[in-house]
Amino acid sequence: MNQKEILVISATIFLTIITWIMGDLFHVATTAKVKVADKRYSSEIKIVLDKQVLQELQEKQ
Amino acid sequence: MIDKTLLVGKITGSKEVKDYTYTILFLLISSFFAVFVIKPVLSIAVSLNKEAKELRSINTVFEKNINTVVTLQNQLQEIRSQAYLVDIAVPKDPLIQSLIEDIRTSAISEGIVVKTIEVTQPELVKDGVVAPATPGVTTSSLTAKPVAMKLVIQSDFDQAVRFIKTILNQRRLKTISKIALDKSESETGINYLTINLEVEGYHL
Repeated sequence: MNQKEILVISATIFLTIITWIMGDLFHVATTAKVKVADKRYSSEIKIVLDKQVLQELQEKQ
Repeated sequence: MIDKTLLVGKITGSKEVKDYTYTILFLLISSFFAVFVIKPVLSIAVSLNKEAKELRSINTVFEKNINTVVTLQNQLQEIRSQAYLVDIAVPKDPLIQSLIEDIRTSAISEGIVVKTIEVTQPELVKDGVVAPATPGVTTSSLTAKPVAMKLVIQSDFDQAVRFIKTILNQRRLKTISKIALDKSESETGINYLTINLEVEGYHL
């Protein structure tokens, strides 16, 4: 095996490792890290109290 | 046996050999460092950054939710004196007797003859969709359950309109899901309407 072949193998190993690292970093960056015990708490509460309804009920007999 | 002097001489011999050797060594050492030093450090850094972003986002949602709950508490405090109206409109129990009483009172006040009142199989309403009642299926406490009633009344058109308005204007929530009018004539020759109504009252 001459030096040129060893260089090609080394470069291949180097590029493979760089690609693997990039892929791993992408995976880490896109995976959710924080687990919320109850998913109801991780979304916004939207409750509307319509006082107009109470007013209408008040006016009914 | 490898002659070390010969090997070193070969390696350090020509410029081309030197360049190849340096490049190969550089790539291999870089790969080693990349795997065992750079990757773990970068992984931890990216992971922590991601975690910090997620925590900030969750914190924002929690703060908004806390503010919403505080606002709701204040609003509930304001309407506390009117809360009984909701219990009247949609009581916890079906209170069928009270529904029938409401209808009878309205009919009497308008001078209408109620021929029949029939309470039919209740259905479950969830998120505005009517689904048949299934035994053994538990539903959310926020599910409104209708009590359906079929009425047959005899009256003229104006009386019927006033009767319907009176029913809908009562505090106990009611809806009319079906109405069918049929013109009839009595033995004395007076025209009247026979009206088939499907009224639904609700409870929790």
